[in-house]
Amino acid sequence: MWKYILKRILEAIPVLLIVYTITFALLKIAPGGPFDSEKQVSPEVKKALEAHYGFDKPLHIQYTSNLVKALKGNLGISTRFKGRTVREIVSEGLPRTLVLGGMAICIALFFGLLAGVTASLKKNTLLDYIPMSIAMFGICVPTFLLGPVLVLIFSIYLGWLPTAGWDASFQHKILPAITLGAAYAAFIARLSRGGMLEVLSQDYIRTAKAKGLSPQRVLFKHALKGGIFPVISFLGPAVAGLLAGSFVVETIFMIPGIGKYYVQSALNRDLTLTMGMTLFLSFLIIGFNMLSDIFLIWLNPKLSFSKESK
Amino acid sequence: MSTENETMEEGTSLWKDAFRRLKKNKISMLGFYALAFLIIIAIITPLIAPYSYEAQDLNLGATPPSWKHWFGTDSFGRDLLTRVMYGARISLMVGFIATAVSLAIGVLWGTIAGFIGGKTDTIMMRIVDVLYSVPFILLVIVLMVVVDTKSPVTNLLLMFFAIGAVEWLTMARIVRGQVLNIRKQEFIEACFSMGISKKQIILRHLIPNVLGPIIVYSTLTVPSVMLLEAFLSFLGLGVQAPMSSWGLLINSGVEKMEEYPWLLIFPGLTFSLTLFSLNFLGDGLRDALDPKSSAD
Repeated sequence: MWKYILKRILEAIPVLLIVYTITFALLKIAPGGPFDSEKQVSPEVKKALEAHYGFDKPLHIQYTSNLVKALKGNLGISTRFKGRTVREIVSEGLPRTLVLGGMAICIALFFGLLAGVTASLKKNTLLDYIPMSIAMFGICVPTFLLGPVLVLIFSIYLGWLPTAGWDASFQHKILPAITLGAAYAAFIARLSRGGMLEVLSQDYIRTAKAKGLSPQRVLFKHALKGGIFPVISFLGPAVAGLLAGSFVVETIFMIPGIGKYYVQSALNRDLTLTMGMTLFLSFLIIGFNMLSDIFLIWLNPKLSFSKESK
Repeated sequence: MSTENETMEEGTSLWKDAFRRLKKNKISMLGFYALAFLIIIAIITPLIAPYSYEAQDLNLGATPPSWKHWFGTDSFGRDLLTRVMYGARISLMVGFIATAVSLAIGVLWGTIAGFIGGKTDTIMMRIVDVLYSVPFILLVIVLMVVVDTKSPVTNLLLMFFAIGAVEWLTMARIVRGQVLNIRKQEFIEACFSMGISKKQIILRHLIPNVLGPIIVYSTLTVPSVMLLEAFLSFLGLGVQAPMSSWGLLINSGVEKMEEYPWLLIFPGLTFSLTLFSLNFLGDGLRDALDPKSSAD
């Protein structure tokens, strides 16, 4: 177990290095420096700026010094929002994104598991077909379409919920969280249905039933544990998708979270901010992937062997 | 062309069987017909489009759907149906070309790794494993930010390349697994003993036999690529005006949805229906081509 965790941590290092190297290279091949904005600056000012941001040193020194800085948690300073560090912007936006993402995951797990498990228990009945058709719908309607349609229905026509914005109230969070969670609910429903169907056909379930255990006991004690396995392994990668989804959802609902800042920095062509946030988000995604893998092994130690032999 | 002949020669029963099974799956066939219809429309759009896609009629402005403009017009008085049709060209093109790019890289990588085996295989698949954990969506966004070529066509090409480069990993894994399996079978050994060159074995015997999973996975890659393109375009980082893609149309539909909801509804509906068709077709193909599924 510890060996596996150590191995995963060691594996994450080259991945982060690749991300860092690619972002660094892209930053350097970018046509025009970060200060070639609308306003013309005098050569002296530009030079001073470049010295301030460390852009005047040789490439390999920039590469290593930036890397050391990033490792210390210093991801640089925004070139557009003067004086604001990437760290400040991240720590301002991240809590909102985490609340939103957490709510979305809860919604997705609740509805997804409910639909998937029900469908697997009532295979080939209406209770299977209807939730699964809705799930297919959830997969085919992208977030950036679902969000506006929900706003159109619930905010503009019915007037039940606010159209956009973000404050302490719960009403502001309902639509964004549903929008973000819907696609994941659909995926989880499909995965848990498939996982459950596979488990339910196995001998040990038949044995449990033959022993005379109640259906509830068979379901909760035996079948669920194996059946939701695919769902758990999906949750790690889902974080990456949730972050990408938060770019869209936060833009639609004007939530000042990390996703909106990221898209804004990209549209502003604020290179240092984009780079810093890319590094941070990559770190987040890779970390979550690692955690979900470790959790899987912890649930089922047999896997660590098959994973290695793969 | 040659693959078609080949499958006819050696695996008639498999392909006929698969097609028969696919035909029985009504939803998948519906998806197939819808997609075929869409592709034909997209190809002949310049001939049949009712209006020019940039022709403005500012006096007309935004009008709801009518007999003259089936999907209505936008605030510049441009015909929405025409714009959706032209958007289909870009969106489908992105879907197919990027899938082709990922297909080429993935099949080549997977075949080489699986065929040579040993250390080469280990190293090649290790690289895939490492790249798998790289959050490419972020790197694609960075790429689109950094390389602002100002030319929509170059941007588009760049996007094909970027998306294709992201999507090849799963393909490589699938192909490599299949190749490993097939390589061990007697008929490949027979080929070796007959002195057939490696290139011939790969092209004529290995690849035709892994075609099934490749086709299935490609059908499922197309919608995910189209989604990625629409996602980028929606955020303003993909296809740029004056070109139009479904993501871009949905984006501008959202801005005006309070006053002119049809600007959101029609592009959105078209896009979702296309994704539906592709997903159903992909599912149907998987069921039809997967030998395991024939057992149920």
